[in-house]
Amino acid sequence: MNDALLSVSGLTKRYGGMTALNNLSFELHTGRIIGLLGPNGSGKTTLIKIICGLLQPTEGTVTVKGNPIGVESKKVISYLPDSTYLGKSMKVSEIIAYFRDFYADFDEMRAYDMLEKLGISANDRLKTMSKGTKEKVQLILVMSRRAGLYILDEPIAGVDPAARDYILSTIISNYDENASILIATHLISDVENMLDDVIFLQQGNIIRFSSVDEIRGVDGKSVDGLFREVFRC
Amino acid sequence: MLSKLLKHEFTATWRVPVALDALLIVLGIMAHFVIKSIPLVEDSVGVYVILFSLIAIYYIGIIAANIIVQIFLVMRYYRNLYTSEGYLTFTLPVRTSHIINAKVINGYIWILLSGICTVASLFIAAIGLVDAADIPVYELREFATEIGTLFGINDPGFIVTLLLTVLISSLSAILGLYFSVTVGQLWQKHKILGAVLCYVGIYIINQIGAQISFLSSGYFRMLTGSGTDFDAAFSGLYGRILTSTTIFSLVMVVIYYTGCILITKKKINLD
Amino acid sequence: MSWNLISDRPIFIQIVERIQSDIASGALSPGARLPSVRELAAEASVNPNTMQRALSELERMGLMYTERTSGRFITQDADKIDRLRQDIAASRVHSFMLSMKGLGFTREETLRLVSESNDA
Repeated sequence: MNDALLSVSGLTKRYGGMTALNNLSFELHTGRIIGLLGPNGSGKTTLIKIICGLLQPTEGTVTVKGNPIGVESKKVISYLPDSTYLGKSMKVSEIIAYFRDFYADFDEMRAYDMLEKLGISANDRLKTMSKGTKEKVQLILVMSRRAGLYILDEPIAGVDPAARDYILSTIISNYDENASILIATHLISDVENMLDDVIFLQQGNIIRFSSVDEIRGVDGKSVDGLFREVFRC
Repeated sequence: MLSKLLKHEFTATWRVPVALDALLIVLGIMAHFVIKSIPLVEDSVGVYVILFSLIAIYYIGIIAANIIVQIFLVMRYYRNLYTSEGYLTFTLPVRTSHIINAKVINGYIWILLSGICTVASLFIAAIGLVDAADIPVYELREFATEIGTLFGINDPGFIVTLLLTVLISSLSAILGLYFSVTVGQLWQKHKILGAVLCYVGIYIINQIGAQISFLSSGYFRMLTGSGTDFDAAFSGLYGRILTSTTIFSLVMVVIYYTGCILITKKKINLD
Repeated sequence: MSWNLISDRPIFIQIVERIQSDIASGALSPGARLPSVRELAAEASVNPNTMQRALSELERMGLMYTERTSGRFITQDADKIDRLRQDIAASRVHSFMLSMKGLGFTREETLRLVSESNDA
């Protein structure tokens, strides 16, 4: 019996002749914050979309708590994509109702609480919000689930330092204690203090999967330092 | 979960079709008064041209309203599944078939409703014609019965066939649109172009199907047949045409639906 | 308030030092109640596990204590806090003297510069 939260085995994704992911195998366990790190185009988003069931793998399998990608895996995963996925004409209250109806682990009170702190009311419509506010609303929805695995794709790309602090502290204050977080980013120095483990992805290959303590202890480097060394142009 | 999906589908879509259906009825009422006013107005060519233009605009209006409903539904299908909104739709913990079913059922209801409103609109307009021509009701009824007998459409069997035809061809219409979008997204680039091409393709197939249904129903035989069996051939003709078109639509419905479900399940690729 | 953690030294040690200096300076007053681990971690943008480890270490040092129901508090032991101040001062003086030596100043020259300084 495999007790891994996420198990990826022999995962390959090809687009025509181009290999986006090349025979990846790894496992994630509960209670960890894992950084999925790599330059743009290294396959981070492709990997995430396969885990979330938005892309079909060419070869290999992915299981979440032993279940293949499907209804059961989607109950466990709370996914923040790298773009806005909410219908523009929706009101905040309609989106909350949507999440409440479909996700049994959604904590409505928590979501309204966080929205209120940002001064967003239930009757506001998404199309009246700035891009930054929309992204915050989306983050609040995703972090208001008591999920088993949070998958966050570039949550702090292109935001100002104040928004970055808000996003990171929202993630840390809200994720479920027994859950894990997989956070994909190329902005390593901003997140490295919160990571337990890192996965370095380069051109669809995992070139390093180790704990941050190991990188600091054994390599004597910061994750950012090691990253700059590995991915030197 | 299907009922929840349907609920959200309904709340997200009802405004546009309801507005257009209301417009259909309003247009029908306006056409009614325009037609009714024909005998009352001055006998001048200019006035007649205006009146008949208004009636032509009415016909274009009802066709446009029906097409807009369909375009609205298919755009919603595309946006909700195959643009960034799909990231949410396809990560919901529900079965893919339920997602499709909710869209099909909701779309079908709106297509049927605008069909009903179109018929109602035409009916309201036609009453204006009856008023204008000042035909007594009993004469009208006799006329209808005669026409009915001539075309063999008076028996209840025909009414049932007609109803089935409407129900199934409406389903085929909405599923054909969804199917085109689903096939279109198989292309890595030009997804919308792919959908349009697929729609053109199935349109041609449907036309060929309709022709075959038409010919196999004995239309051709009627034209070339001898005088004696002309009446017999003619009387059941419309029933037969409807039956074979319906069977053809039914086959297409099955193909479209299975295609939508299988492609979405096995081939979903949201880049 | 930014925590200014740098990334090439273990985060856990930097957190411990940071809280120690806040206790010594009185920024965290004796007997004060600390926010929860989760809140502190969020404020510093660090992993809650790391924050937990740092707080446990500070508890082991006797600089804070946990009451099962009401949370975690700064020690009220004045001797302990004073000893902490002395320790921090000693280690800062030590590193200061080392760096002055590195610049080529003798012990006497350094002391003279310190006594002539207008700072503080």
